[in-house]
Amino acid sequence: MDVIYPRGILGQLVKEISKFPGVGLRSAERIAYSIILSGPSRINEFSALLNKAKSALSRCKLCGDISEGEICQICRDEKRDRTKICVVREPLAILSIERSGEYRGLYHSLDGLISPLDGIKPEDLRIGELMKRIDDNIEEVIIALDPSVEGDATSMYLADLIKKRDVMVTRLAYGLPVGSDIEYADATTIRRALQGRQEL
Amino acid sequence: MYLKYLRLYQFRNFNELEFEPTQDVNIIVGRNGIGKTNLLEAIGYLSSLRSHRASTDRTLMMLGKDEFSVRGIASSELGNVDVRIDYFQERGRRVGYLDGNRVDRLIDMVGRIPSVLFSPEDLNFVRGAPSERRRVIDIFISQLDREYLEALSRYNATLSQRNALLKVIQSGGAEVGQLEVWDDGIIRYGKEIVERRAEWIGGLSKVASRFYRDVTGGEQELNLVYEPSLEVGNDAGIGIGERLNSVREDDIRYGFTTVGPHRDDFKFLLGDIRASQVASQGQTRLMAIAFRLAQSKMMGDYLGERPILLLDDMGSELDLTHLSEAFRLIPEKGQVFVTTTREDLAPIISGEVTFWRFSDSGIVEMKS
Ligand SMILES: Nc1ncnc2c1ncn2[C@@H]1O[C@H](COP(=O)(O)OP(=O)(O)O)[C@@H](O)[C@H]1O
Ligand SMILES: [Mg+2]
Ligand SMILES: [Zn+2]
Repeated sequence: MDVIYPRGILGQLVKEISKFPGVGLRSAERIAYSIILSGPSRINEFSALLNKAKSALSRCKLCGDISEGEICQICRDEKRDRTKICVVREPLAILSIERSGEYRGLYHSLDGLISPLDGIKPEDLRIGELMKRIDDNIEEVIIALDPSVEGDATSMYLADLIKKRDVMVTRLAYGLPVGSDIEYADATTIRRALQGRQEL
Repeated sequence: MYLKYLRLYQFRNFNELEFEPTQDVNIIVGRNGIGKTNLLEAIGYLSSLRSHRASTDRTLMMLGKDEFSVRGIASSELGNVDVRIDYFQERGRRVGYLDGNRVDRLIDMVGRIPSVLFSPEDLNFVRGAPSERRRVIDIFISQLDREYLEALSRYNATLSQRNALLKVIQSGGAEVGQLEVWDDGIIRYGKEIVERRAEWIGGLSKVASRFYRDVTGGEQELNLVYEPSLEVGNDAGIGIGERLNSVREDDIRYGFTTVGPHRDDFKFLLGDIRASQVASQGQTRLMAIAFRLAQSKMMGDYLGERPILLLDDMGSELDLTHLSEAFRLIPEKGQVFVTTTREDLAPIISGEVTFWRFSDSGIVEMKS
């Protein structure tokens, strides 16, 4: 009983869709079929929207989040607590932490974790940018990286650098299920982890 | 707990196989090469998510295919547990389902359907390379000790990263100081692994020693002695860290981590002498059996019921005599799988026996 895959252009489409995170082969097939079976106007609108989103959105120059202008809303918001920066692996994590409603400071995306196996060195991450942002006003850096060994190693690396500047470094408490990524944690879990953060 | 349903898909030589064993003694008869060991390997894989003999999942996949699946449903007083592992070669990864729900972390599935496998190749862990003994001990402890499994998996992840970094440092691509963040994990998880191995191996040694004495009439004493690559004292963390520092230059020169639990060993002693130097074939076999019985006994005590016993390739008269004596020492009831080439195999273990054979449609009962 061999598995049957769609062939030709349809197969190509399925394969492309399955490259998105969290999309398995079965879901990719369902999405591809639904796209092709829907009317031409829906496809046109959808591809126009994709193009529009891609050209209107870029990375915030400061925190690295997705932004409609050079500087994102959070970085511009004067009402936020500008003495705290929360460090995340990628912009998606910012969304999860915002949803928890527990945190009112600033963010910084590293765009990855240290991983010699994947050839990712500290220099490849947005660590230099982070250090530039840690000026006189910053009192606390909250490290909110994944609880994987790569997340732990990167946290430790950052903590060493930041502590040299006499700034307090904390990390989320281990309310997070070990081994799973922050984006998948629910708001309550993140809220509890933020409340119980520990100094590094 | 007993396995009531097993399904293999593109696992080893089985394209598709279903099996509904009984909760007592299942004797599976078949010629050499038909897949008896593969079948027990699959049940062991459900227990520990590891093979007792292959070190990669890819080896378990039927040649020429690109995925495999193993699923087992076990039944106990608490109800059913349904464990399914799918492997996909293209993504090089496994997906696990527990009671039909996809799990975030595969290690949550380990030890749900506990088993102990007795195999003729068990001689290898008495006499063979340390890696064989580590595999056996890891498969055993992992089924019982969640924190051990956690530490082991994080240790291995850290070790791969540290080794990769050592190679980069060797070629001048990174500074030595970058090792520190990985050394931290090696020390933390390494310490935990060493402490837990010491405890479990100590326990196994006591029980195995008693079984060996009972089976042999007690001429010589059997002992298992743990030989950690890194000593753990009272202030263990410091000890491991110092040791790791002292081998740093070697590590960089070789491009891998030269000390740590991944280099641990434990030895079998007869009296005071290393068993591999003095034991006869028969004694070695008995030591292996005593060691497996000890695992079964400890798992039973720990879990409150006997694990599933998997007895592979029971054919030789020597084994049968040894085993039937040995099994008198664990009289508790429980499920057993025995594989053999002999149709006349006398039951060596008490319980209601069902004979099975391989057929095109799966495993079917033999009518005498
Ligand atoms: N990955 C694999 N794909 C296909 N066949 C395999 C694979 N691994 C082992 N086999 C086959 O399985 C058979 C051996 O099965 P085994 O369980 O060792 O037999 P036995 O009944 O003697 O214990 C051999 O014929 C071997 O070629
Ligand atoms: Mg065999
Ligand atoms: Zn921003």
